[in-house]
Amino acid sequence: MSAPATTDAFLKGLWRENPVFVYLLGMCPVLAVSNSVINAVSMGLASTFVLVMSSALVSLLRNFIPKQVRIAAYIMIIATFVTVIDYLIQAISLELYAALGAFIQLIVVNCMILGRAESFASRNPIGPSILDALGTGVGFTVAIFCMGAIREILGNGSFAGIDLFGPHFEPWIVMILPGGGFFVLGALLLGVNALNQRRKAADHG
Amino acid sequence: MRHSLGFYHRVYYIAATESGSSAGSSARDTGSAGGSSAKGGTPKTIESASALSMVRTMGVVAALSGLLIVGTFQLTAERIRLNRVEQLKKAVLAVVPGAETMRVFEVEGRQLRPLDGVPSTPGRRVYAGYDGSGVFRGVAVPAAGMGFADIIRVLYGVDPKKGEVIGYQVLETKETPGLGDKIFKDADFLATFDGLDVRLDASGEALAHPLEIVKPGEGAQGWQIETITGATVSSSAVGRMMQESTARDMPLLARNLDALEGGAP
Repeated sequence: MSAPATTDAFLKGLWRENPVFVYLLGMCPVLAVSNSVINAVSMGLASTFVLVMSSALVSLLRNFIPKQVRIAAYIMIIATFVTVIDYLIQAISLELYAALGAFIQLIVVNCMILGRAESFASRNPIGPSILDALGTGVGFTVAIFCMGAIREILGNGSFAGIDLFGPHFEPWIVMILPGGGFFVLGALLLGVNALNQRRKAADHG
Repeated sequence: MRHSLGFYHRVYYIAATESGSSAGSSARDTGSAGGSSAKGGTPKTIESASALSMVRTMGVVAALSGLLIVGTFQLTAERIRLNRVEQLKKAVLAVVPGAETMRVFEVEGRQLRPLDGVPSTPGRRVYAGYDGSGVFRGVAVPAAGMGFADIIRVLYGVDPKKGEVIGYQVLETKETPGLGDKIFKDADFLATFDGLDVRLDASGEALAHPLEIVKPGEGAQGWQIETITGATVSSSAVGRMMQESTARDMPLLARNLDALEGGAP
């Protein structure tokens, strides 16, 4: 991977290399905490924070960390920022903290973050690394937000807690249950892949 | 020691393949511990240097991590403590109507001991609520029990003088959305807890009518809790924890009524 242009480092994470829709990374939080818009966006932002901070630190230390212990060092750095965001969310709102549950701590094993540290931040200077992490993080946040919006609207008749359809709406409860996460993710992946294939066909034809 | 020798040796081997040596001998090389001296060149110096640098790197990264975490902890600790106190206070004031301030009481055997502030250590406690002029309005009592998915924690308010439940709030639940969450959404179920009969009998050591859990539509008496259709397990769980908690705590509260009434902060 040669160093791409800086804007491309940011933009590729949004669609072409979207961590959720293209690489299928970080599925655990995507399925588990996308049952409401607020949860989804908070999870996306928390992951983005960890991603950007750990990519920056990994990039700064990239010439200093020997190859043999790089994974251990990256995990330690990622775990540090996960602990930091864990405290920060508790300080911001305990209700949000309770809603996100164990998934904040589980950001540490989100392979999207280790993936960016290993494949990009460890080989590039800090500027592009931060942009790359930011792009990936925003791509992740947008993806999990789409999931959250669809599931909350169908499953609860509301958007970010605001009631949309009035009292006569019959919620499609399965959508906010775990099964609904798989349905929505499957449908979104179908759409994204269909769109990408049509585009590719148009490029070749 | 043998093990670590093998590890260094493997490390050296990886370094060698990366600089372009043949890849065919990996199984033989990585398998043999202590055979490194037989290989030519100067592996010893490379090994010890890279081992030192690995240890140094992990040490520096760990120190940096520790510093960051301790810093964040110091910065947020006070805020998090205040959040917890605020959360508890909001719940207490919600289940004791008319209350504006509260005081924490520690349960010590058959006695209640007033505390100053809100302690952060765990313990069995009840929370007395007082209105603006310091008049006692009721007590918030925590109760918990196993629900369908996980432990459900509730806080309910009682007026020990009248022997009535006056408020109810679910603090923590992981019950299924759309089904089990009726324990804090179902209007009829919530109405049960407004005026639930928990008067004591003549001895003052037990409830006159212990709470009963009945099927939907069968609760004619003031001490009966109707379960919810579609949330039978969750609502029964709430009923059971209320049963246990009122049977245990109502006599305690009645005994310590003077302390509660005079405890206005």
